[in-house]
Amino acid sequence: MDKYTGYVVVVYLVTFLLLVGYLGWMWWRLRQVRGEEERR
Amino acid sequence: MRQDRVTTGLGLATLLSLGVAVALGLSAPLDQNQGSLVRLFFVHVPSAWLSYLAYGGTGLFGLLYLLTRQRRWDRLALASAEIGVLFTVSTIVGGMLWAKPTWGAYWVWDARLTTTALSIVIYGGYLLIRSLIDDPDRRARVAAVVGLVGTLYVPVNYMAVEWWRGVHQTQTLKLLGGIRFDAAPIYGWVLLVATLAFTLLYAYLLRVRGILAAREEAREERELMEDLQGMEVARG
Repeated sequence: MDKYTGYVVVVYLVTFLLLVGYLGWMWWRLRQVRGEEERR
Repeated sequence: MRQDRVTTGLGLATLLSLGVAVALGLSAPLDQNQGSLVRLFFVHVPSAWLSYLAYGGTGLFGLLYLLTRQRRWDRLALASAEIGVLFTVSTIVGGMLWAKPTWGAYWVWDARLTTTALSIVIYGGYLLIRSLIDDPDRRARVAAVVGLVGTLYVPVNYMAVEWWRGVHQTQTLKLLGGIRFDAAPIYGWVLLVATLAFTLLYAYLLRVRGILAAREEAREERELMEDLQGMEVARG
């Protein structure tokens, strides 16, 4: 722990939040497409 | 079912390796000059690697589409470009947060930084072009050419720190003219683990995005067929 810890934590957080966001978006789209297929 | 098992297995392997990489990255010894700031590299460098891999993949899959005209290569090219843009954003954010305490500024128009920012323009343009063309075959053909030309970005960005010396440090891992790693070996090992984890992550994201693209393409074709049938009925 030193004065740079905040920068390190933010970089890890931003990277993994971007990743989780992208995975969440794909999951949502897949669910939508599946829902449309089932309705047919 | 078998496909899902592969995706799940790949996802679990990715999750596990990312967990190990983060744990190693956050517990790596402090650097004599940079203190804990060095730990930022274990996400920044693998993110940059992943974006190179993804942009290379966009070009390769585009080339395979042009050679075989099989739509699955086009879907993988699209997936790869999207992943590349995402991890370029992560690379830039990581770089900016390293630059502020080191260089005193979040951004300078250094060759490496400028070319990295340009990749967002190139691949953002690639994704934009795709969204503007309705005909799937034409879209795949045009995108493949743009993706292939865009791949030039990878060697230019990699060599930017050698060709145009700016504030960005030169390559820590030298690959040309004899392999050399100019940092403490422990950092090399942590970087290796993190890079392998991000490589697995690329494979996983590519697979999931490819599945999504295939389903969306099937829906697009279904809608097109319905429109055509509707037109025929209207004509009588």
